[in-house]
Amino acid sequence: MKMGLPSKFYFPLILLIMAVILPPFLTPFFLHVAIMIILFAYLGTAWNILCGYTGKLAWGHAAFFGIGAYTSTALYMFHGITPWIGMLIGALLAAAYGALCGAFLFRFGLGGHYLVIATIAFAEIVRVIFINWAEMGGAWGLLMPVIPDSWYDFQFHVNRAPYYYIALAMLLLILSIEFKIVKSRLGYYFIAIRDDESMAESLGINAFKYKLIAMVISSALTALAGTFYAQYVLYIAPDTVMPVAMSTDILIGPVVGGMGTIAGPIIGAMIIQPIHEFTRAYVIGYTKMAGLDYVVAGALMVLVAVLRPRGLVELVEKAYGKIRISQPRLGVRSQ
Amino acid sequence: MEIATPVQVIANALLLGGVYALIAAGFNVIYGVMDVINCAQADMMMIAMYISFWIFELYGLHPLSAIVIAAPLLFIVGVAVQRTVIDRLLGAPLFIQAVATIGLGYVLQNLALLIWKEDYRMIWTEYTTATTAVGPISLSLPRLISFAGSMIMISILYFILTRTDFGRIIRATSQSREAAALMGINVKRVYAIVFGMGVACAGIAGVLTSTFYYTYPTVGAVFLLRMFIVVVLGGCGNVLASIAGGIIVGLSEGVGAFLLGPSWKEAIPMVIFLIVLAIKPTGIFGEKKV
Repeated sequence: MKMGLPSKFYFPLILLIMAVILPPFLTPFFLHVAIMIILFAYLGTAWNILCGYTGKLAWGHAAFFGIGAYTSTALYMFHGITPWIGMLIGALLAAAYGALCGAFLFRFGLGGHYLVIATIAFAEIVRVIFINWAEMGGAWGLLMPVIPDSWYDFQFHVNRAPYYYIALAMLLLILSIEFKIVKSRLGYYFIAIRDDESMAESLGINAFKYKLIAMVISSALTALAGTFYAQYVLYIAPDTVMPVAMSTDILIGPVVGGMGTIAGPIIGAMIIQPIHEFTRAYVIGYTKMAGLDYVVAGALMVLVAVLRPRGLVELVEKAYGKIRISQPRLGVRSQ
Repeated sequence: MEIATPVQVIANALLLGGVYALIAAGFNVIYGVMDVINCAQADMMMIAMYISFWIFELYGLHPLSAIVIAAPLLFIVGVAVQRTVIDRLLGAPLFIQAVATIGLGYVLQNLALLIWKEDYRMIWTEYTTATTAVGPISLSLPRLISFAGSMIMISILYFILTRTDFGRIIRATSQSREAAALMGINVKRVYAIVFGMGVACAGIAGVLTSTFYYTYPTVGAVFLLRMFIVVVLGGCGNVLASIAGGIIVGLSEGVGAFLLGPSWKEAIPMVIFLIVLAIKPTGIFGEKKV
């Protein structure tokens, strides 16, 4: 018989409760930082589902992000369809594009640097298409009209907390999806493919099929965040939502935090995003030293890769393990 | 003139392919010898472009004379980077190498942004606007020289690798690190020098490019992606094949820009890249250990 939650869930639960009651205590700037942390934790997790678990390294998630952003924005601006529905259609389109890329990439059994560059190429092709797509605003992009707060239109200006809660709900959704996958047969197949693809195939796992499934899930979930970003920033252009730098931003979090772990992308986002936002707002704002944020982020990438290639999650796990072990265990946990 | 125009557009783009080939050759030497992918290669090139720009701007010297400074300086930078960062990444998973070197590229790009701001800088002198007539078409002289310079550099690199004792040492190290070490080769030193050589190639490419291309902090992004495509088209680690890869990318960009308009040209090499990948995933000439 299970008695309540296992103790390892206590800490995440406390974090969640804190996250829920946090917004009223934040200034607008800190609310923005918090939203960016949650958004990139979400994006990192979406990337992680493909790359962290199957080990197939993609560097082109900006395309899915951009497809999500453009689909909902265009449907809203040109046809008046609520972004909530546009979000789902965007996810479907991104999933379709993800399936197309995946079918191409995995059919030819690409791996390693070929896969990395091929995913960049697929993303760049989408970017160039949007730059040349006059109806979609071309290189200028689309500027959303600013209208009064409404849930139907997915815009909140007077009180921006709904953005925060929507992002938080999305993060919880993706984490529960990830958790489900990791604990299921699907997740074990992914990890088997990552650890030794030919061995997995020899045991009867259809690697192509499962890599494709991971790609589709990952791309659809990334597109949802694209819609959120479009509604939050209200301006999208090929060079803001689809450049290679966007793909890099998406994957820095999980890489710094720890790939193939649930906590990794969250830890990564909590480290990287405040660096970006604070240096942008304070250091660059006052001293006009543009670029300092990426100097710090870049140095962090080098340091993590050299010193902690498995990600900072290792350090956190160690610290967390110590806290948990130091607590006396009461009674015997029943199975 | 009407007939010459398309030929001219394509020829100018083709000449740009020479520079792609040179950075790619530098990348290939590094990859072929120590299995490390250097994503900061194009940002090293950006540093050299700035060196060239400042040498011209501050001292009024011919921009090409910057090679004398840029090549040794970037060699030293390469050796320093190899000793501090790359040496710890040997044998690390590809992605970790990519993340570390992209992080390094970020640092370089944004240091440049901090120091020199985001202005687009261009060297304006008689030399940079000079043209030379080849039959009915007139080619940009700096592009022509940069193409020739790149080809000469790649040939020198190839000569060093295949015809000299040092090249033999490099090839031995690339074949088997342990065996080379047993033969008394200082593997660490070879790695450092090879990395320095690879980066110096990017440096020379940078100086050559600065005479006809804008210099700005993120200019590396333009060349990095093309460099990768050149590398994969030709075959990873295959130094000589980067010439063919560079020409294909330059040519396809030129033809693409002419047929579809300049805003589409970036997509053409990608499409060709994906097609080659589908037909022959190891590149046109196959992978190679230097």
